[in-house]
Amino acid sequence: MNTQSRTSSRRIRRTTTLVAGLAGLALVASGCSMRGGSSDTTASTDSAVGDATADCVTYDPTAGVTDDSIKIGTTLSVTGSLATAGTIRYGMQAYIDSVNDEGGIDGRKIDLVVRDDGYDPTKAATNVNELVNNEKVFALFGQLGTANILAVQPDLEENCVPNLLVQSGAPVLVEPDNYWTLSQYPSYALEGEVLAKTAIAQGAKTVSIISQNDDFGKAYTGALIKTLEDAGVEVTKQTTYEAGSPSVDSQVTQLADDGADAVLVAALGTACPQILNGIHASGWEPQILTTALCTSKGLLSLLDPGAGDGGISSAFYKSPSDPRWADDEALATYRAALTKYAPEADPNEDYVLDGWLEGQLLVDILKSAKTMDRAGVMESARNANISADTLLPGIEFQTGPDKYEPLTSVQLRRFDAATKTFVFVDPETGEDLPAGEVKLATGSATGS
Amino acid sequence: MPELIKSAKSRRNLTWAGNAAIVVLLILIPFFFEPFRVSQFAQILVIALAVMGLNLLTGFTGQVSVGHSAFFGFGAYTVGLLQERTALPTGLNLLIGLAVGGITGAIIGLPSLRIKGTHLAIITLVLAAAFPSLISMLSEYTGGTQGLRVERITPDPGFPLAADQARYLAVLAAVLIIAACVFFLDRSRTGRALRALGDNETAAVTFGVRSSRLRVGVFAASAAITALAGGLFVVTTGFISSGTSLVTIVGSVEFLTALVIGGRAILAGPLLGAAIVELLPNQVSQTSPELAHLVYGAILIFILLVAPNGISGLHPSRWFRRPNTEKPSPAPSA
Repeated sequence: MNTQSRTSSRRIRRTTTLVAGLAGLALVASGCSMRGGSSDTTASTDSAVGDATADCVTYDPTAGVTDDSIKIGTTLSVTGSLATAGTIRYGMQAYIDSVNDEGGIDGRKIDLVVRDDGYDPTKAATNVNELVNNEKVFALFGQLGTANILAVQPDLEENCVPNLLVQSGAPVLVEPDNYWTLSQYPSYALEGEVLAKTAIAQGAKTVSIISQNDDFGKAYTGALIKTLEDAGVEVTKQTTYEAGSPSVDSQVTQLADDGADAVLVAALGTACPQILNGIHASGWEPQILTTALCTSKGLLSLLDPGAGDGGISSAFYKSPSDPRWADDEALATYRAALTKYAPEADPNEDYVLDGWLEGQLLVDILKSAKTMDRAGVMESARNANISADTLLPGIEFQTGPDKYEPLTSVQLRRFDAATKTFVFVDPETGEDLPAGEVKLATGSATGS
Repeated sequence: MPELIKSAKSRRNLTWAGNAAIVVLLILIPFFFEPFRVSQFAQILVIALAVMGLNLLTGFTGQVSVGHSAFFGFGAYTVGLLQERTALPTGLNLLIGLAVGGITGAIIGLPSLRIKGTHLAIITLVLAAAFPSLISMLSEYTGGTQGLRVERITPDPGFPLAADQARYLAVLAAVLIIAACVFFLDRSRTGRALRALGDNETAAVTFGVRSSRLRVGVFAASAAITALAGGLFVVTTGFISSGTSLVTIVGSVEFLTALVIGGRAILAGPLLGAAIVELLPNQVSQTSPELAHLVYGAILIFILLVAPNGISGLHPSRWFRRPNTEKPSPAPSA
């Protein structure tokens, strides 16, 4: 008994000394720097580059670039609730493969590394850390989801790594201080504004709103309300729902009670068909305005017969399921390449085509870069003027010193529930456009 | 008798030497790996700290909590908001985060006086499920799904350590301090009382253990440690949102998995468990994202078949010994 307790007390003493000593050591090693200010220790080592890299904590201009390859990374939802949106990777890969087969960019082939983050910002940050510091990619491309993009932005801005053509229209991403992040989507605020203008043009006197209770919803409603109020149209009822909540019935009932002339549905995912079906079932027949993200092929297939009829939404690229483009040359090339390089993908899915468009824009940006380094490519991305053949006629991808938002015009379209197709409409009158015609709507207060 | 004591003593010496080796390795890591690996290891330490919190509750009293992702979140948002909205030093913010976690834990722990086992697990499940909605509701302050950007631990120019090393060592310091606290608690009177409570409450109360005070106390301490992990998470990664999986139910599952896989050893258990849940899914996902969950699950089942008490419960030296029936108390070799 005695021996045992002596042993154990000696053991405790020894451990105490060790653990305390080591903990103290670690504290000393890290403690005095617990609240460092903004550090700008080792700025750019390359004196030839201009202002863009002046604030870089580290800057490796040609990481991931060799004489015959350029390594590009992406992190998106291969799995999880937004796996459909993650199918853009098939389009990206197909376009990149076809460019590589034609010799690549000045002899350099693009090597695309795809990582799955399941729409989780933490995983996205881990993936980007791994892609930049371990895989040594030259740039990131086509990252998906506002929170995921914001989660990796501090590191990328600090180390001056381009994050090209991110998949989000959040207004916060097109602010001038985010030099190294380039957005691909038209901003949600632009969409909200042009939808409001349509409602005004069609003579709506009252408008109600149902939106997802987050920044996504707020970006739409903010722009919509401002435009309506400026025109003297009343916003009568505003409701929100939580992302991921199973039912939106009570909100739809409130809106139907109110019975406004028009309703904005600022929703995402399966909430879209739920809301539209609810409105249809209530017997209320407002002019429906929805987000572009509500009109993917998969979501529309969940609508009850007759639901969502006449709903106005916007588009900026040629939807592959739209019969209007059945004989389109650009889409024929796209379908052929998909069959060859990504046979597992559904060519009729809008997101896959969006990925192809991403590839087109990326290659154009890389080709127009004066120097094949990070600052050179970012300069090219910030001064782009691209008319890709899968964008709707008249829509161009343009950036410039005062233009951070590359897409500032969209085409409005009306959903025809009977045929499950879209008809392009005139943004000024709300009337259907003759077949084959396009008339773009442009926002006034762009994010830049 | 002396034989047995000698054997127990040498085994303890072995454990002691093992822990010392782990500590030395942990301190050396940031000086021998590239920045990417160091930040990855820092993330593992954060998860390990959260698991140490859970281990205090589950390992000692046998209660299961599925709500620890919420405590992680309380800590993360408390520290994140303090970092962004006040000029207080990071160290103090982390301590406030720890305290907030402890208070929340004590309140949530109250039902554990009457509700036990599966029923308690379900109550904590509600907490885990409600937390992300709470954050979305308060999006004006928390940033909701779009998230909150937080100033990270960044060394001043001229400081001998790089940012990733400083962040790693800050987390390591917290891990070692907490491990030391748990180590001494384990050997104290309170520790024995807690264990007794977990084994047989009636017997423990008969011997004078104050059941209610201990139950609420251990819940609070457990929550506080996990909240500290949350706080360290935001000051090392610089971002938190209601979509961050660690503050959703997925986080709770991750902590529980790490606890079960790692085993009950105070330091090695959470570290091994956290390393596996952090690294394995990522590695598998790089080869095939679609099959990742399936393969990950299969590997977990395999680990538990081989090591039912967790990896830290394995005794490799016993594998090479003949069965105990032939030789009752063999002295383990070095």
